[in-house]
Amino acid sequence: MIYVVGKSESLITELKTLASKKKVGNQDIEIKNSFVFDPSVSAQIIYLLPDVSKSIADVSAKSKAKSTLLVAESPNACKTGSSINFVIVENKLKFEYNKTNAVKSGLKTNDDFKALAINVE
Amino acid sequence: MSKWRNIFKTFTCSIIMLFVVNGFAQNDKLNRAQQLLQSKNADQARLAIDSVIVHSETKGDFVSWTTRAYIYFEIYKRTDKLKLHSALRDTIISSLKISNSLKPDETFATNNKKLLSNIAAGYFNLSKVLLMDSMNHKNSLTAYNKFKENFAVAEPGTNFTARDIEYYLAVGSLYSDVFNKDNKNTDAQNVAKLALLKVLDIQPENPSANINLGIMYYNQAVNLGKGLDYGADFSQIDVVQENIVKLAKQAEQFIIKVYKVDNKNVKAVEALHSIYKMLNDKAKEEEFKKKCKELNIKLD
Repeated sequence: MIYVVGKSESLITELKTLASKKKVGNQDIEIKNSFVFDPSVSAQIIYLLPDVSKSIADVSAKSKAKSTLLVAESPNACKTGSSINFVIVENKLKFEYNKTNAVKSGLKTNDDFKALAINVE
Repeated sequence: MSKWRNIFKTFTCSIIMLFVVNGFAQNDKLNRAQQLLQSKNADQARLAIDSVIVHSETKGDFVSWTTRAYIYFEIYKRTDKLKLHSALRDTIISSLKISNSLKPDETFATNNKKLLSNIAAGYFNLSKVLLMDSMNHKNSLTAYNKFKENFAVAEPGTNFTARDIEYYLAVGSLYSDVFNKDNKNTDAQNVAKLALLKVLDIQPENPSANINLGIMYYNQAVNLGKGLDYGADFSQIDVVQENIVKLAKQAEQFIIKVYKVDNKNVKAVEALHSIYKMLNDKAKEEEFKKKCKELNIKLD
């Protein structure tokens, strides 16, 4: 399950399109959205939109060791608990990656992934 | 001796008479050709005039050549007006040029000019038909250049700047529409680009050319993004992003020129909002979002 917290109709639409076309192994992808974080939702990915960026540290603490990948798109998100953070660099969309946060979340990491990202520790 | 003299005199007179009669005959043929033209019998008139213009008595007369041009014009109107390559039209033009070279009087010079202008206008109309109806830009351009060539002979010193802008803008708009509807049609894209850049060569601030070019680059970028599959690898995404940014910046260059001259140009404001969104420039995207609202532009 991908759990999107915050407001972005276009992202939800796009993720739902992706979910209708792709599977992870044999499993369907489910998209859930709420405007505020609900800790009872069990998701593999939590995507925090900019309007809820203040809650990154809180969400990070509540989802620790649940093997949940925390994704955000706000400045310094990787320093406040997010494993992946989308940033704009020279008009292009890039992503920051904090391996430490990923490991703390109970995720196994692949170093190939590191090579593609802007690494933040 | 006296008898011989008489024979010689008679013979000489006969020869002279023969030439005079022959000359009269050619002038009669010219008159007949003109009468046939007036009575709308152009096909018969054509036969008569074609012998007039090869005869030594009449081939040096501008009247013969102008008459020939008008006779051929009658036939041309009937059969060849929509043909790009017409032997009849070529004959009209060459006949008028010969007539002009024989220093015609004012009446004939005026008539020559009128007919050549008419032929030139025919080429111009043909260029429009070939462009709008047949989408044949190559033939259309040939017709347009023929229009200019002939009109310049009829009206020396004519300034074609406004016409050039009108023509190339029509080509550019038409083909950019085709490309915007089908981004795989790179031929249409190239034709539109060339035509619109030609307009900008003549008039760098032309708003339609700038807007059309900008929107073409923007749409090209949009389609690059749409072409990405969910399973695309990161290196491919990077290359596509790079190209999208390049195209969006090119689009911005053209649209911003229009916006600087007219900051209420609806198309420019809307396009700039989309371009800045594409360039992930949040500040400018917001700025133009506000401007769109002020101008009652509905955004998707």
